[in-house]
Amino acid sequence: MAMSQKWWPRALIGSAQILVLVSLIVAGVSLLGSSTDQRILTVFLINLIAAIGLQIYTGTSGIISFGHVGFMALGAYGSALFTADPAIKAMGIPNAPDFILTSAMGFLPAMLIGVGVAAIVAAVIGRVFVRLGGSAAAVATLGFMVMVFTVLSNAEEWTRGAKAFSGIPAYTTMGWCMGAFAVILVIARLLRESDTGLGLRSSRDDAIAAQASGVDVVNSRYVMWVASAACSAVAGALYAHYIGAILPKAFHFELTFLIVTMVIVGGQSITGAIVGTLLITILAEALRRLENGFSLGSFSLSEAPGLTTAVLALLIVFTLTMRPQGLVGRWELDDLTMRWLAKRRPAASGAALPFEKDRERNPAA
Amino acid sequence: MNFKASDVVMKFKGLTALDGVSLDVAKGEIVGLIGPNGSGKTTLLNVTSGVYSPTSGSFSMGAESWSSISLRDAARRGIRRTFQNIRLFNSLTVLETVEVASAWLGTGDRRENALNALDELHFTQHRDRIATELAYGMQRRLEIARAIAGRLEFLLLDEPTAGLNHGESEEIVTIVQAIRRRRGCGIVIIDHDLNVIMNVCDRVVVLSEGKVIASGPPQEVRRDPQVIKAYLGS
Ligand SMILES: Nc1ncnc2c1ncn2[C@@H]1O[C@H](COP(=O)(O)OP(=O)(O)OP(=O)(O)O)[C@@H](O)[C@H]1O
Ligand SMILES: [Mg+2]
Repeated sequence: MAMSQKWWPRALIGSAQILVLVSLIVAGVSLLGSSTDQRILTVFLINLIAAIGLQIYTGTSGIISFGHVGFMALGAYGSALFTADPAIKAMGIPNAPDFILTSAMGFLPAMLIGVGVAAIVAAVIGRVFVRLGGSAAAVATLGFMVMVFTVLSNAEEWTRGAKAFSGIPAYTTMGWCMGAFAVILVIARLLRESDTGLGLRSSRDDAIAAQASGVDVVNSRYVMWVASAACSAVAGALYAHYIGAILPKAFHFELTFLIVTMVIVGGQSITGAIVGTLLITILAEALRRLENGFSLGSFSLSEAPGLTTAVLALLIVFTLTMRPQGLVGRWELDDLTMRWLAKRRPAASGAALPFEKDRERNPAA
Repeated sequence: MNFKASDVVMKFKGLTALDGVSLDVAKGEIVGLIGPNGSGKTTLLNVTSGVYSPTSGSFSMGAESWSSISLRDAARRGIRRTFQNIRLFNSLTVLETVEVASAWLGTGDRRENALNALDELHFTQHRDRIATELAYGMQRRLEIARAIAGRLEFLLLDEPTAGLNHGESEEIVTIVQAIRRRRGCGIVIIDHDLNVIMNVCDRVVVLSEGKVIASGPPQEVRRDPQVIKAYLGS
């Protein structure tokens, strides 16, 4: 076999392939796009990190989480509070503790604080959360997201409550986005291919067979849960320092729905999360332009701001009924390229035709 | 080192699937487990491998003993199994399927160990295909490959030749003997194909309605009038 005997080089090759493709998109838009296009591109990259963050847990465990936007919020507020100009904080949140009021950190340390807070919260609630599956997990994670929203909305001394917390330095550049994306992409792939990730993916398919093969399902989920919360927090921090002003409402149902749709529509792999994010970003942008100017005779669609949400909902329903494994299913880009290459030289001895179902004999025979 | 199950009782609501069964398997020994449908063969494997906790009874292996065990702890002690109703992972490839076990129960390189296990099962092709898309006979073999990757002390095979043609059954017999020779593990094999049982087993245990009704060398058990009445005669 030409394939390496170790499991991890493939994870690095796959990450590199994706990085090249995303870099091409970024380069193209940076060179040719308008400033609106660049804005869309930045938001796309931030959503990409959020989707990969969620996929680290959902793609391996098979359990959906509606709570990860809560971790994004923790990352955003964590980072924002420690970087905002002390003069602005003295006016906006005069009663906040001193270590926040006086702090004027750089981006990286502040982001790491946000990530640390999210990871600690995830570690604390995770012991219970990872034991839940199916609808119990959906309800519990959704409850967590709402709880973070409520706490942030009421912690007025720290966050200005429901009002916007502004004066956050605009640190988020294309370079930061690409750097964070590259790091998280590699982490996500290595986790997915690791013993823990592989075991967890097997347990998603058949928990009994996985345990009979030695897999520790609960602890594997826990590892992925905490890692996935930390990566989501990075997306939150990037978001805060891009927009410059945040409010709890930004991390609520709407964003949850968006990120979850990206992951479900894309598939179970990291590549799937990327495909889903790309597809939905393009779709949402097309719809937004439609919402803003499109009219059909006397009927104007410009008064239909719910169009995007409605289309996302349809997309989820369509995916869950027609293609529950998502667009790319379990495959990563490198799997797909290897398979495509193998298909092109079927003459080579015993090369498998991976997508062709084996119909040699019926199991019922 | 022996594996011992002593006086195992398993009740499902009103039904007594195992009614005081004892089983003793030495390392390197192949024991056949036969009996009519519903006699409790799979249930005995299930309580041994940790799928269920038995109602009563105890187990021991070497110096360790327990009355119930988790699936994972049984696997970690090297008690490995296949499933009568094939349980493969439908999003993993053949190689990944075996790697799950070599990663979690093996020492050393997980891929190399998985490739070795596949070799032992004569799995030279199709390693990158989705496990559940294989032909049926290959799925049976893949289950065995997964069960021998990583630590292996006792191997429990639940009808490994069910649904296979004659040639494929013969191949399984050869493979099972090779596994015993190479790994020195104890093997319990459930099968309805008496040719397989007579060919491969050192000893046969016959279950009927949750009780052991006979036990001994294959040729002797075959002549036992109780066995003929309960099983062979049917
Ligand atoms: N989980 C369960 N719940 C209730 N009853 C069960 C369960 N598992 C097995 N049984 C019952 O226990 C009895 C023994 O079943 P078991 O599957 O062990 O038989 P078997 O000897 O393996 O049969 P076969 O040759 O058909 O595989 C049967 O009556 C079966 O219906
Ligand atoms: Mg059975």
